[in-house]
Amino acid sequence: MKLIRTCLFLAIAATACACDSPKTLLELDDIQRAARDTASLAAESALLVEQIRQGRLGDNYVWVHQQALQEESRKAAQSLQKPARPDLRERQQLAVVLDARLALGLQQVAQGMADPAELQRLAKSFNDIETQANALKGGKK
Amino acid sequence: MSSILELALGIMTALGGFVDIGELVFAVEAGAKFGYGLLWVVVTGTIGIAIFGEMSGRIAAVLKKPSFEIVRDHFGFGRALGVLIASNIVNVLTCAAEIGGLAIILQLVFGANYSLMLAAAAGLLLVTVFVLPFRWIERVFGLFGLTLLVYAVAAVQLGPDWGEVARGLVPKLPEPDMPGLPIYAYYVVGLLSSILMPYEIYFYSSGAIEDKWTPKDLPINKLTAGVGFALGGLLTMALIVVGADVFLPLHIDPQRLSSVVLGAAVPLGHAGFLFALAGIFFAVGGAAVETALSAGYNAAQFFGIPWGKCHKPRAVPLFTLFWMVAILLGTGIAMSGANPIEVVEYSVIFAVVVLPFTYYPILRLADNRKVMGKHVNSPIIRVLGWGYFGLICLVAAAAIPLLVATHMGQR
Repeated sequence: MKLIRTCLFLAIAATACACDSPKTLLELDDIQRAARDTASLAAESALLVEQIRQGRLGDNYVWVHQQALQEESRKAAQSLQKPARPDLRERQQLAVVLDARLALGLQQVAQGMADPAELQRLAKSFNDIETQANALKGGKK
Repeated sequence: MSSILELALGIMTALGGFVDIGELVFAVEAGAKFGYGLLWVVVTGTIGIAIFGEMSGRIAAVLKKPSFEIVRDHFGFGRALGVLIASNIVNVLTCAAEIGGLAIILQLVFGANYSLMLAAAAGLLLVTVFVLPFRWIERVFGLFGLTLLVYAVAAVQLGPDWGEVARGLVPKLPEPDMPGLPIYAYYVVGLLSSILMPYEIYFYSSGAIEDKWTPKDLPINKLTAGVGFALGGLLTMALIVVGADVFLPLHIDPQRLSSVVLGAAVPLGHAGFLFALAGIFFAVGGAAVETALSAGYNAAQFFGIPWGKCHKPRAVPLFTLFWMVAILLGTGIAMSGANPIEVVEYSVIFAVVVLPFTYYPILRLADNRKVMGKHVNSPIIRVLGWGYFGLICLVAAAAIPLLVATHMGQR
């Protein structure tokens, strides 16, 4: 029982240490993490568009999956809604813009399913967002 | 002939029922993050679940004692009540995640509102479990769950470097361009726990009693636990290969159940897409039934109340109430807006903390020659069983600190 109590205490202490304070500033690490998520979501969006072009997915799947990706993109943008140091503001803005572009592009995926030219444009846009997000996050995956 | 058919069905059911939402999420994500580097964890976990599954089935066949009766007898009422509460919290959380997963699949097929699909999933489960006898529940979900083998086909179709795959069977540290050691450790714990989930043992041993196993059925128990779980382990390895070959090269983190579907569509086209939807539906639906029934089995066995799907619901009213409440609570959690993937990650990590308290009494009893007679653990099983128990304790101690330190494997 003593061992269980100790483990429980350590677990609670670790949880308390991991809690964020509302007074925290946006760090470079936060921007890189958001950029990593954006790059991953953009890559998955491009893959989704490619699969639609090849007629491999159902319509309902596309509607639901693009919404799930949009939701994730919103979460990535939300993690950037903190005050940033002056030297990080430019990066913060770029990360927010990339998330907004990604969400906008995803909104158009389901509507453009029957239009190959629109799908090609979206794929190019997603690849572009991924490249910029990768540059923002730095080398580490 | 009929016993061969019975055996084949048992193995296929064990295989079809092996993978649940936890394995789907952790295995594909593990492949996408670490390539084939975590295949060894699946081998380790599968041997563990086969050993403890066989032990619990053997005890059920010889002594007619299901797992939770063993837990109560070993720990006494007070402590076992703590284990019961913890186990059933994990069962309900897992059930919530599985119902959420089921609703997502229904939504992907019908394109309807998520809350409506949740209600439909819950209704479908309640009716299915209420109406179908135990054997048919096992067979419907187990056999249709075999459509998940589409991931094994996908893994072969992707043409992996088999030498690299074989190297993944040997533990090694992550490569420099992969996430760091804490996240690697988190995925080791998550994968191990998702394979060793305690509800699988509760369900397996209670199922042996539902199926009225006797010592004559011990060879079937050995083969079902050995071959069925081993094939299930291979399926989990296929999911890792799909994650590694589809998502890793594109640097995609497939954190959604809908992304897992994409993993089969990329190599196999529309047929792969359809089979993946069907496979995940039955695998996740089967796991939802198993977790809800396990919650009912645990509570009924602990309080010594009559239980079993082999009886009419009116003959076992409290047992029926317990599993129905588990489904309704799970649906309530899923309806509250909780993300099923996050819920499953919590349930998988918390499950590992409960594991030692479930596995220890089973191991002690199966090791007791006075009680088990000639069916006691063989020396090899004894050594492996205690070795695994040590590993499980280690993993249980590391689980929650890793969950917190890595922000659920994200940092």
